[in-house]
Amino acid sequence: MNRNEKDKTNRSVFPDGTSIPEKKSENVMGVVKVHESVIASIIRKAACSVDGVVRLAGNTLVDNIAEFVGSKKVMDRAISIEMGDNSVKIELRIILAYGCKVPEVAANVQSTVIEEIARITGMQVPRIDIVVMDLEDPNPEEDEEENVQENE
Amino acid sequence: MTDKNQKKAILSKADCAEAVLSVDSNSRGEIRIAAPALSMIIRKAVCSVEGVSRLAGSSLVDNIAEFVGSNKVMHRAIRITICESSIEAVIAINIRYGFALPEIAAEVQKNVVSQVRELTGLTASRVDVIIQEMELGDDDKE
Repeated sequence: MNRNEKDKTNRSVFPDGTSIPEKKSENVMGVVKVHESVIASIIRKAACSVDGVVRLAGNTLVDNIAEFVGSKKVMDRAISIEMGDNSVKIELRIILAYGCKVPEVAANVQSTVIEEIARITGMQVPRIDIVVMDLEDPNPEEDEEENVQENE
Repeated sequence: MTDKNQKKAILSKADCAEAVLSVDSNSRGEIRIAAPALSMIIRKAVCSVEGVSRLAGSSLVDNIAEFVGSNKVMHRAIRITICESSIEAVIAINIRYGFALPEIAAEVQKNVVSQVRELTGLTASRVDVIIQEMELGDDDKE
């Protein structure tokens, strides 16, 4: 049993083949590595679950298509991660809904992400910066439609 | 005088979409807001004033752009300067015929300041309003 686990942890498979920072923890039986994109996924899920967050920032059309076909690279632009031994510094670019209080929602995102990372990975988040890149309006106003009609 | 220089440097940063302003700083990190988000807040504050027809700009192109969701439209009519502890805005608007100009302008200024404060906690220390066009109604041909 012990031998099997050791084999498993030594064989880390990274689809892109690049050397990527990862959390490494050693115990008696071997090394456990966590790929950076796992952390990114946790951050993404946690951030999007906060009320007022529309989505992570990114170039709209391209990113939506990319997301649709399941490419993971979308997240990378919105999420910047600096991994330490048992800590991770984060910069997160998000898009909020118009009408919500920016400092409040952003602070919620900070707390939620910190909690989720701690809960799922046990890692600390000494610093998490939030950049609100844009606001999206869930209810387009009448004046926009009027403007379009005026010119028809 | 150094103030003016500082402001100048910031103005050119504010022109590009990358400009960000720190909204809050707490023990967890920093919260920043980018110019397009501020633009949206200001635009909503301006357009909700009675008598304001819309933001100024070349009508046909801009309206199509707005319709397909491009954000660049707003940037022509709204110019934001990010200062040390506040923001300044210059807003160009089109108004409807029949409303008193000073009142509309004052209302726009008031709205922008209060909306920016409420939604971001930032102070808009200066709001300049430019009344670019007056729209007369249905027979107004652009």
